[in-house]
Amino acid sequence: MNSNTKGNFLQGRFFGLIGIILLLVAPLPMPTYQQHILVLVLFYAYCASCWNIVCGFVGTLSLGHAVFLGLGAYISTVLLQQLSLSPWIGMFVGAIITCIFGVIIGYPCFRLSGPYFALTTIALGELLRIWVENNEYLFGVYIGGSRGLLLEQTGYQPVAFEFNGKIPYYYVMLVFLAVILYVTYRIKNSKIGYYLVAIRSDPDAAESLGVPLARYKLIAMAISCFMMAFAGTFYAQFFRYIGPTRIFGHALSVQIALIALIGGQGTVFGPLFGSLLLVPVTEFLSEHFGGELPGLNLFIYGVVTMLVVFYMPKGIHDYIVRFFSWLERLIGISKKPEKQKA
Amino acid sequence: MKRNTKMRILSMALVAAMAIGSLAGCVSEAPAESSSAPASSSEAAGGEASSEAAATGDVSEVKVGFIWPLTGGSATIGQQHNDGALMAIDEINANGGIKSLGGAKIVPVVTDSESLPDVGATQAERLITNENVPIFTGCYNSAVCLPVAEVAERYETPFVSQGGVANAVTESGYKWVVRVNNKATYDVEEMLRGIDLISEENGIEVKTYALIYESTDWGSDNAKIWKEFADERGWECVLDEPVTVGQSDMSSQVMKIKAANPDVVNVSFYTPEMIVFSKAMTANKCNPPLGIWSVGGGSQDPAYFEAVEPNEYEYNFVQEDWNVSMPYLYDWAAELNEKVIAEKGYNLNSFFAQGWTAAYVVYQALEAAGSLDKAAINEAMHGLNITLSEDDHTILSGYPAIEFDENGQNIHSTGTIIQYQDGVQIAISPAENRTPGYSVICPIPDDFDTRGQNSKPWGTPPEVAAE
Repeated sequence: MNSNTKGNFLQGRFFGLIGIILLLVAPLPMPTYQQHILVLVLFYAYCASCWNIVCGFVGTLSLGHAVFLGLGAYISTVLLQQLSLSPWIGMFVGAIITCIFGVIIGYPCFRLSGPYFALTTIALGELLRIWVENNEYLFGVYIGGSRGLLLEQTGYQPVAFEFNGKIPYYYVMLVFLAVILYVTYRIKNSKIGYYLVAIRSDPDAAESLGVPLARYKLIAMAISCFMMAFAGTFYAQFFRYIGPTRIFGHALSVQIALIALIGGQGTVFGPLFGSLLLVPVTEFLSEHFGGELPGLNLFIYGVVTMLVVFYMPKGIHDYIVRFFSWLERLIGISKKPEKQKA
Repeated sequence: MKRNTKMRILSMALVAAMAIGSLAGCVSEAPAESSSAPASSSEAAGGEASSEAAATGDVSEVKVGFIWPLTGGSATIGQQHNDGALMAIDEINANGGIKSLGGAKIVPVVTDSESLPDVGATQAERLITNENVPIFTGCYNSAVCLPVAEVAERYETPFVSQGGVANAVTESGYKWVVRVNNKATYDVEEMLRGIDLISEENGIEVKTYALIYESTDWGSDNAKIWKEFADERGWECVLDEPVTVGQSDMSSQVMKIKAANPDVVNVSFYTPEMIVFSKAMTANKCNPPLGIWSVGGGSQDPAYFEAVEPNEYEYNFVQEDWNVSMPYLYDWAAELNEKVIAEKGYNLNSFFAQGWTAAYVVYQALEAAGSLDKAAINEAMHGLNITLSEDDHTILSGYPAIEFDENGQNIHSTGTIIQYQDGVQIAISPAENRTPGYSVICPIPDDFDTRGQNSKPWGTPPEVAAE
């Protein structure tokens, strides 16, 4: 299946429908820890989808996207702690500021191509991390420096984005994910999406046909940053602690990019597939090998990731879609699609 | 079949195997088996069933959780904590387990925080909700201890915080958290008292100091508190140098220290940066008269001493989070030291000792509670009052006692300031702990050409004349 052609929102509708039902009911019978893992699956799928909008469609590689997550987390948390502003509102403030920041950064950076853009995003992440680590105050507002910010527990307060148990967090993240998937789908099947794909395929040709490269890259960047900030607020509220070393760190950025790359960049569901595979696998390996043979889990994870990158460079998305399409044909609920005419 | 196709199939097979494996792991319930070996998954006994059984005193095993940084920046330190904890559990089980629970054996469930806060918090979630541990300990890094304490508090599960010195760990109003070791304030107070002592003994007045530290929560916390205490003494800070982790060379930072010419330098780095720093200090012959004072971290790690030459740590002062004289003061500690050398290949050290003590505190809390009810364990844990003695192996870290204040901080957690003299750790401060027959070498001699030539291997005990 060509991921670049306009397709159904749920390619392989039958199993897509089953997938949606599973996502809706899966955590209900599960123990708390498994629910926690599912929340992380959705969280990383959401982050990778945000990354996918600017990197998957435009074809540039950002290895500093955690910066936008961190900004969203810090802004909503500072607003909560200093002004008692609900994170539900604070996350929109964070998203707007992060969006503006992303556009300001993207404007000069998108003039760079190839590895230079990736290097610039790495530098940006490091710059912000080091700055926050070494400054406890920003214009007189406490941001914690390297100690980070600890969110006090206040009990069950939905208005303050604090819930009992994992289920509410799961459904909040599921809504976030549904929104980003829909946004991705709309982008992919709109003029913006076609322009972005054209830019990714051949920027010079696209420009010669009148596609304003910088403008459309910046639009993608703005959407990506805006959405990424929400994930930051969610991270802060879910873990109740944010520290610059982790949240602005290179490792988190790479983790997010890797999920999208393994899943299938430039596709709607690729990041979700990547997260559904990598997050439980990480937890499984950590649970079974992390304590007894430290590092073995990371080694296995690394080897499999390398194999996938080498031999399935477009990610697992196409294989999964093909598999379920084949399964649908096998059980007779769909027919083999006719070959497209040249 | 083409090679690429084969590899593609192999990749797909591996991906499928991993996915199926992780799904299987999500739904499987492991059998309850007796084992003294660490269980990194749900292979050990315990859980809700054992909690219920414990209420009636009918339990054969109790799972206890451990979260250590077994990979990442603090891996070597975490591994030694883990070694100490597991050897302590072996000893406890060999001595009859938890007697108040009918001799129930402790089954350690070890997890890796990867030195990352969210990973640590996720592991805490797993220990509490999946493994159903009634009490757990860890995590060494302050940035991990903080979110893990949050998790412990949310699930009302007793947590013995080990290592994280950030004041917030015990000053955030947590009811289910205690800390056995020093907090950052105590660490710095000890160092400053040590400097006061040796400056008085040697008639050297301290006027200036330099701070160099990694720009993490631990390093910054230490530097900030050091400044507060030093300011009270009227000392002048001539250099405040936070350093980003991952440096491969610190020559420029050391040149700044030389230019600032402080009387004393305070350093806080974990192992990799401590190695780089020590090499740069020696290469540039930087020699503050009152020496280099380290707040532990990398300068307590055996891996550090394997990586540097003896002349690179000679005369340095280290705030050790344990009493380095333990193997010479207590027979059981001396025997343990021999065992650790034989089995692990290194001497008893701060990290091993603290891992050991944390595991013993967990055991003591369970023993005192006589139940797996978390509230009962928490009450028993907060009410512990253990004194260092030849008969009780709990306090290998050498604190005079363990007793928690209303915040859960051990009020007796003290360390020892040592100085390296010919490669041997000599206890310097407090004065009553000083190794008999030794005095402080101060001011630090400018003997870079000959320094360390007579050094003994790291871990060699001081020669103390019999009284």
